[in-house]
Amino acid sequence: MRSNSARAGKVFKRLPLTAGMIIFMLLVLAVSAPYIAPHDPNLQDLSIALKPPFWQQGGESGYPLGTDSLGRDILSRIIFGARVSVIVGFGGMILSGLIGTTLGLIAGYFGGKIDLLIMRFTDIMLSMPYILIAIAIIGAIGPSLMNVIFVMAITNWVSYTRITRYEAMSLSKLEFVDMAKLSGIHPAKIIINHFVPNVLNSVTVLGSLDVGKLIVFEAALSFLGLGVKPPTASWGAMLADGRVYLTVAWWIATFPGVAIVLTVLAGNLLGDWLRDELDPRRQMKA
Amino acid sequence: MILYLLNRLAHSVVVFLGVIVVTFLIAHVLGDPVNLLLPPEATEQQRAYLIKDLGLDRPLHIQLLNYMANLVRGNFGTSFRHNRPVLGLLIERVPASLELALFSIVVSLLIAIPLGMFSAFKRDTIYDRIGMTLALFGQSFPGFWAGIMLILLFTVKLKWLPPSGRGGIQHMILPGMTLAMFCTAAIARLTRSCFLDILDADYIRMARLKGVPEMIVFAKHVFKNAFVTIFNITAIQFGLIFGSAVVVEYIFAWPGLGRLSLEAVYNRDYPVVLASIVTISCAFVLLNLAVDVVYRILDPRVGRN
Amino acid sequence: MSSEILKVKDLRTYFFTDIGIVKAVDGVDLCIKEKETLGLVGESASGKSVIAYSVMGLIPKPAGRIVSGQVIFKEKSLLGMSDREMREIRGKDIAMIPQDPTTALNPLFTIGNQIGEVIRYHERVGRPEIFEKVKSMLRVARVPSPESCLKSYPHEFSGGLKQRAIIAMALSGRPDLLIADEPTSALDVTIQMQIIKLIRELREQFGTSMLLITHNLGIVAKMCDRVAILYCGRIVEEGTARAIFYRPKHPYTKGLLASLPRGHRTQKGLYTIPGQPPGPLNREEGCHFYQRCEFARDRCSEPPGLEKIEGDDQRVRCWRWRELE
Repeated sequence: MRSNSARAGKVFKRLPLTAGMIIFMLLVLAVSAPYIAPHDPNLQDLSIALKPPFWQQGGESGYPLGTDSLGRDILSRIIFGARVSVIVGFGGMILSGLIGTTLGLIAGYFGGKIDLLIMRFTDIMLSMPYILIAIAIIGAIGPSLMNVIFVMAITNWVSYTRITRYEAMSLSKLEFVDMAKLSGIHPAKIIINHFVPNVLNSVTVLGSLDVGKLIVFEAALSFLGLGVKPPTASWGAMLADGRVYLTVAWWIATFPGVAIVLTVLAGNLLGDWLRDELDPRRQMKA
Repeated sequence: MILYLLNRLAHSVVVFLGVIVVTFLIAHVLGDPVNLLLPPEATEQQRAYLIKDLGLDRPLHIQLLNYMANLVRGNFGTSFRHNRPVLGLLIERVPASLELALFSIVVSLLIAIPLGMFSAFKRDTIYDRIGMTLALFGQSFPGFWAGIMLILLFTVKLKWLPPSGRGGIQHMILPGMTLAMFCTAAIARLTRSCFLDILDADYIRMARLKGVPEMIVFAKHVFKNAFVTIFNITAIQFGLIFGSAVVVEYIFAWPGLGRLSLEAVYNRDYPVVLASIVTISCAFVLLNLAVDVVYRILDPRVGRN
Repeated sequence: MSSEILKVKDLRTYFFTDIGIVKAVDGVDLCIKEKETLGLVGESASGKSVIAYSVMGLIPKPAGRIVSGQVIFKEKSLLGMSDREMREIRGKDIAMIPQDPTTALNPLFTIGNQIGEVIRYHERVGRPEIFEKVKSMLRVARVPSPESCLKSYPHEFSGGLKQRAIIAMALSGRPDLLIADEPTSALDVTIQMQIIKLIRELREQFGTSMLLITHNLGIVAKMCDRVAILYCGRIVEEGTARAIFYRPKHPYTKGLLASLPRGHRTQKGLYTIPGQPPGPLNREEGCHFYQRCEFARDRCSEPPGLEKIEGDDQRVRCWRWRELE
């Protein structure tokens, strides 16, 4: 049955592979930025300020995506911006994931008052606008890479807690947990040895979808001037610059945005694909 | 029913109080308003006076209780920057944010729900794949970049729409579309999976086995089950829009709560920042309460013994 | 000579998936007479439920399709019918009891509402009459306090009660044929017998023919006039219940009967048929039971036809049944 739909299906099946490649390229860029970037991202040269991309009149191939208002090469800044995004995205995801998963597993394992307390706490956090809180906190402690990761960690952990608690609660009902408790094994050992492997699937899916969200989050913060400290190249900061010169230099705002979209799209595709692959119902069909 | 409502109300109140506490703690751990309000050359005496005036010398929990007591009376404090009661500022700005949020959610629903339903009915065909890929795309667009690009297209190149400010409907289109983009994509995908789950359900097959006309199967069985879930999704998205409008309001100079909060952060105007967070959180809590009530009315399994 | 209610001839229902064609029903013949109960016995994935849904015309398109064959109900061919015509038959002339009572009921509507749908969409009666009819059906199904059950929701009922409500629902249209798809598998053992008894009594009362799909030979013994054994999408043996139980001809049937635990005799251990049925995509062309059959010979790599045994109203699909007597 080689209908149109089947052929389309084949194309769409290749997407996760493409997504994986994009993410891989991103990581490569991030790590090897100093060696790959054609120019120093912070090098200002007002004589070549606001140069358009090479295919437009006035552009040169030395600065393929043009330059910004201070004469800095856009391409190089994007490459170095990848660094920031990767560090913040993965760092924030790992940190918030650790906090959230720990709280969730504790809540699910112990139940009772501890569970109630943690659940109330997540309800409270969920009721608060995370962007506003992030902005407020950074506004107070000042913009920097570490502060951004810190803020992400304390606002993003809730979704991890919800799913790990749910799974921990079902795991707690199984008999082997009672047996382990009776044998006097320390709760931490039970949680680490038995609960963690079981929640790894869900946490991984959530994490991969989170990276995209956090990269956008960082870009938003940097856009507002509350992210990484200038003059560090960050995609969000570039967007802020670009906005000011939108009428005369469209490229400053456009290319970093494209980078963000591609990255997040790849992250989402990968996350979706992971979710389908790791779906427990899938394993039953095999 | 009443019991359930009271239960949920009590829960909401507890959560709201918790929000106030957390917000208060964040504000006080992080900032030192005294340093900001006084010039560096201020004397010890001036500092002491200001501390006493702002009530900062009292223990933390007393300050917290004072703040809560004030809140109940509608006193959100005085803005450092504007030298006006914060409540007045809130009243000015909230309608604008609400207007924008409502516009966005309505546009989103009008597009997303039919899109999601269509995709579910035509599952795995080419329409479905294209629709959902578009939705994935939409969810990957950072809202603020989409906003800038829209300005680039509609204001700079085409000169059709104004780039900022609040006025007639033409002013609402660009910021509304920007906010709606992520929202539409999310609702479309969730609607699709919701309908897929329902369409696969045994009770739908049972209805057909009984000889119920197809129209009724959809209008009665599918619809009612879907409505509950979609209402929930919509409420969540509405909350998200309301909360994350900060950046969009900034880009389009929309005079709403988000922009007020942002300026307050830039200006270290803590009472305003606190009040904004508390207000938006209050909106979230009320929204959740509304969802709980709707669930209770529509789904007989909820809240009864 | 009682008339035939349902006649299925060489039915083939295939599912077209990305990984291959699943021949769920691969040439099945069935025949059910008036007031007769036919038991359809098979393991999971033998195609039992697919046969039921094929008769009802609810095979999920586009993945599934009835590729060939005939389904004739009371002299009318079902396969050629339009959706509207099929809809009129479903619930009224042919009714089905699904496997899991819990998921078969819409949690958001009352029991009364859902049973009432059968009457509402098949007869022209007003609401108060519908309520009366539903109540009387609930009473017939031995549901306690039918009045309050009308207004109750599915989640308030136990599994057994739900199944009773579904039985009431199925018989509301006074169908000529009732298809019961494993009606007790999802229930507690203690409740199973009650439900079986109920179905048997109601069958007597309404004179309904029945297609009983099950993997439980005990239920077959209690309920069925005739039995058809299904293996990998094909009928391998068919005959009266007596014949199947006392004079089985096919090795698979013999194996099934041998694996029944005998309570009253000392037993050294439970017999099981070795191996697993081949997955729907791994079936070979010959006899599907070939790999697990202890009597297999070279001849068995060719597909055996369904042979009629003289004088016994029985049919077998095996090359060697005569030798194995």
